[in-house]
Amino acid sequence: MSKELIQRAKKGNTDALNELIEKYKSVAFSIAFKYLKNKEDAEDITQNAFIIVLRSIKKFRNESKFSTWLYKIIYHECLKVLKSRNLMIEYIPEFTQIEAAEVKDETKKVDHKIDELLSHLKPNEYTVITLFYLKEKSIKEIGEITSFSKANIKVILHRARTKLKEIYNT
Amino acid sequence: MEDNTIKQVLKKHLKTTGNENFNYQIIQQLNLEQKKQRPNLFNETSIINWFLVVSGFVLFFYLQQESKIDANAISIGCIICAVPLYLLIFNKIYSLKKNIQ
Repeated sequence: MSKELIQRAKKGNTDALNELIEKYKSVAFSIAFKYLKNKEDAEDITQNAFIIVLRSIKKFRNESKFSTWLYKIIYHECLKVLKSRNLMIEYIPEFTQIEAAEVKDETKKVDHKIDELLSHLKPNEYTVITLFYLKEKSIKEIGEITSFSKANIKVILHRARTKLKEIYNT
Repeated sequence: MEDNTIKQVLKKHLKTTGNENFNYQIIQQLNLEQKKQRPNLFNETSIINWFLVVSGFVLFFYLQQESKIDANAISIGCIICAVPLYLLIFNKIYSLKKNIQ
């Protein structure tokens, strides 16, 4: 992440803001989608997180990475929504299944084996493994985002890797 | 399954929003919030800081004086101390005027 891009975003430069959103939206959206299992909700949460982060970007002092800050907000916003809908999710399981089916229809071209493989991962596992492999976050940074202990993250990573390997090899 | 394979699998299967206006909606929301912010002549925090500094100075010189200070000097001191308050009022009037426009 270039400091120059952050500087331009701080000044409210639309191109810089657009570039920032473009750079992080897919991972942010994927994590939100994994938790909420609903395209619209995941979009709302992701947009909301971007607004929270970009609204206070002027106060950002590069003490931690911009992406760590953003993912932390995404993660906690998802947990907040899940917590508030705890009962709802419990009582209408069909709803989430229908939503998931709709999204699957939209992405018919996607390799189903790998899609299924990823669907076996729990949201926490998906978040940790995505941040670790795709965004190359360190265990410490993942800890900052999720508030999990280092040992816990290592366990989740190991479990997710094993799960993926098992499913991939069958 | 190697680390690189995991990376590629995850990368290939990232979900996309599908909302074409996704970025635009965020930027528009930020711009709207910026417009809503009240235009100010002065920063109120700096005025309060100035007020405290000026008051400190006035108090300091008052305590340094050995002879009794006359009523004029006290009223001048009070006016100096009150200047930041006038600025705060001007600031409020200015932002209200701008908002009405």
